[in-house]
Amino acid sequence: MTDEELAEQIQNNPEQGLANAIALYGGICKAVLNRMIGSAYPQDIEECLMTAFYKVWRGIGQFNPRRGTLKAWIVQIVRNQALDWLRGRGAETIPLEEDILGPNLDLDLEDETARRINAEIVQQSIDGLDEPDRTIFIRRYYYLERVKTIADYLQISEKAVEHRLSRGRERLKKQLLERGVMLP
Amino acid sequence: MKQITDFIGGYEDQEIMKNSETLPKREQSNLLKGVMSRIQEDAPPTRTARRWPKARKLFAVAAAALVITGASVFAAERFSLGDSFIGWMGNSSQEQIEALGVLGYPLNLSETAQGVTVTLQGVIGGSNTAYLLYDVLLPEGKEFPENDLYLFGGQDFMPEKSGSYGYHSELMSKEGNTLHFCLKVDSWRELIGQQVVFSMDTLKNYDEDTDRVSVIAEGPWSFEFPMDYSDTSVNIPLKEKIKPWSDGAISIREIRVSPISIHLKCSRSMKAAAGQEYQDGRLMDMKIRFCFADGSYIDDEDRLSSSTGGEMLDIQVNRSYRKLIDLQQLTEIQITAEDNGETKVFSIPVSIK
Repeated sequence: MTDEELAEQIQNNPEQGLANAIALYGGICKAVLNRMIGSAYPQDIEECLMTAFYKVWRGIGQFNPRRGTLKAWIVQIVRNQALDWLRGRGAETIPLEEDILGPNLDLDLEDETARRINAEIVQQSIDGLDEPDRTIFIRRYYYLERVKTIADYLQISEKAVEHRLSRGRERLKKQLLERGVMLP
Repeated sequence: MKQITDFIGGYEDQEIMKNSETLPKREQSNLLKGVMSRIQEDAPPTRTARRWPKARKLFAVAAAALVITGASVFAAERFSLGDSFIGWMGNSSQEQIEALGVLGYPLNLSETAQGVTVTLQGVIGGSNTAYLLYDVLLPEGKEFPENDLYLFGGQDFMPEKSGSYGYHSELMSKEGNTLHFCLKVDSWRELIGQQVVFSMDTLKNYDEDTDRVSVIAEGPWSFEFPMDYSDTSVNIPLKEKIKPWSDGAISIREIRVSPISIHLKCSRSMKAAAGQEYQDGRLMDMKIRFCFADGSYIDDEDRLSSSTGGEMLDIQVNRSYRKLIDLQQLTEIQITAEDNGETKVFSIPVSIK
């Protein structure tokens, strides 16, 4: 079944469509939530999964296969759900000073073409990072893991993690500037 | 000022994307129940609660007038469902299908756009489920692609009354430059007698080898017609309400069966309605089997669709099948429900004269 067919099924026959989507992507979604929320909160993960798949059903009309796969679209909804959960609990996500790319920089994320180009650049920039820099960057910014958790996982110092994160941010910023997506 | 965490959201972590682990079946089922329960509290995104504004209704009438002006309308004395439907309904004999066809409502409405003609052959069904049979004909000399993966752009089936509707097109067969489709429609409200608009913008084909979608016919095609088919469904008398679960949250008060579907009207207790205690999930998990005089049966394996809909205290279940339910031969309907680990089977004897 193609993404378009599954999306159509979710719209026309939610029970069957969602059953298929859950069978296909439920495992990935739970893995994302486990990373972001932590397996110590099984009930919250369950709740987030339900809400996320409910949002999948609500928003399926907005899914556009030209922008990416259905799997990536669903995972993005799940990640946003986890972000909401973290913010709702006042949990530490990423400090603002670490999160922004730099002063006087902005991205036009509302424009469809710009958004697609940005997504490509982000994907290429991050995938272009050497290991373990890529893993560190993703764990920190995508899954919002603590620096200490990442350091423990990789068995390196927290300082080393921070240094590599800084390097990743610089690289991303440079690429966005070079390709004219960000304004200096 | 955008933050990394915001615009990184679209990043695809290939490591996790490769994760092919599936949730255990039980977990999948519970998750689905939870999601469906929430959906029940809300209205479906595009297929429901279509209370037409007056202006839209006028537009629809005007559009229909245009459609009918440009359409070929043929008087049909008899509605023949044709070989495609016979082949598609696997178990059915010519006689059974013919008998069903006589009860169908012939439409014979055609509309051509960009050289591609869509013809509504007719509609058959019961009170809450219908099959709309339609063909798509390419111009002479043109043929459809070899693969049979078709997608529809802007396909819409809109009854005039508000309510929950689900619909889905299935390809029945392909003959040269003609495709025969069946649009299956489930409805919470009675379909019979309603005026409906059926429309479609594009017909597309998906090529699995190249992972490309191509438009093979561009419309739009639009039809408005009454669902004036004869109701093929019959009421199955119940001695008493069926309460599948010991908590008494749901009771089945009415059963209607047609040659293609079953429709259950259920009542929900105030307590269950207030608590949203997975009532829909349990109804969806319920198994239904049709037993016939010759010992054969039709069960969930032959199901084409299943849906629930309704209001707080009134829940309805529709199921349609790809096998013809021979009402004359039907002797029993079995409803099986799981109740706290116990399997309960309710037998409803049937005798339709």
